[in-house]
Amino acid sequence: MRIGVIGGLGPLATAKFMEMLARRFKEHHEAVELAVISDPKTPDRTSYILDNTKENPVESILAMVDKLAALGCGLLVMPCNTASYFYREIEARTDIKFINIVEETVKYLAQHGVKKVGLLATEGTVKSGIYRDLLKAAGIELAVPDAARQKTVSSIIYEGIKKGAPVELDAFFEVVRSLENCGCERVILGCTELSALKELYRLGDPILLDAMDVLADSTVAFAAGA
Amino acid sequence: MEKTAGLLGSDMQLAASFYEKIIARTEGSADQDHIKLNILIDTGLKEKSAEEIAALARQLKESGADFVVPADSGWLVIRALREADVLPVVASRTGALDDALADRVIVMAGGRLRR
Repeated sequence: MRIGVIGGLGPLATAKFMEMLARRFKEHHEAVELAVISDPKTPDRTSYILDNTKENPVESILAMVDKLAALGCGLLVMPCNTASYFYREIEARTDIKFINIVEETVKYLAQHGVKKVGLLATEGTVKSGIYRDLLKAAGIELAVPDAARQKTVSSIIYEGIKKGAPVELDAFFEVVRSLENCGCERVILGCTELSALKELYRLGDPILLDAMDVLADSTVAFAAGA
Repeated sequence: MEKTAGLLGSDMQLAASFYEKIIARTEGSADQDHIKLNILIDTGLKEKSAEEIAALARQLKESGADFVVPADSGWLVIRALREADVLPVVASRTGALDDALADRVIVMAGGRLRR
């Protein structure tokens, strides 16, 4: 079964996701097929969510879905949390199973009995409430950074990772600790660029829950069961 | 002029590393400055026939790729791709996925090189 990856959101997260899959499939005996359509020209997801007069990324995302469908993929995954805002449009476009990174991450937290969780994500993800709504339904309390700290997180994502520029890890961990100090048992890396950051700098802090790791696990589990 | 690069390989890790090299060597301040790239990985690629490899090249072409880079594929796959003549094949002389190849891919796809 060919696994389809909706990529380019951003490109580094896509490459790191491929590496996550590579590690998990390393001992696989059967052949593994992967198709990646990476279109980083897709308009910025947060820009649109915060201001819907900006360019809508959904058409570009659905075009990638169409290409993966034409390639005969049996499974679709999208290593981008903010774009999960469009999960309904994606699911309506195709019968192919789409694994939703936000849903999988909340499922993981619920399965592990987590009661309170912090979220590091783009403003778009936070404002759209995609994590908030699913967490609430699962009875899990959500804490997000205050405005100043959210600016820091956004800066790490947009001025750091997406620009290929160095990141101030001290600033990153200050935000993580602030969430831990208000009682969060885990802190979600809810932006795949932060997952890329974790991979790049080999951040092993056990409080961090990488949504992209969860997505990779779900991808392999589904592919194996298919 | 914006084009879409294609990558065909048997090793996910190698393809991912080469993709990271491309990203690192591309000039850009945002996602949208990076090149479009379609990747097909089949871990059983080396066992495939010339016809099967040609079919994969056609799939890459239909998905929008304008040229194909054989990633880690080995000489037999490179030769099969050249003989299939479905897409221009862009490879280094040694077959290695090196910086010079990454730069060629970036420029061919319409991206700019980081100084």
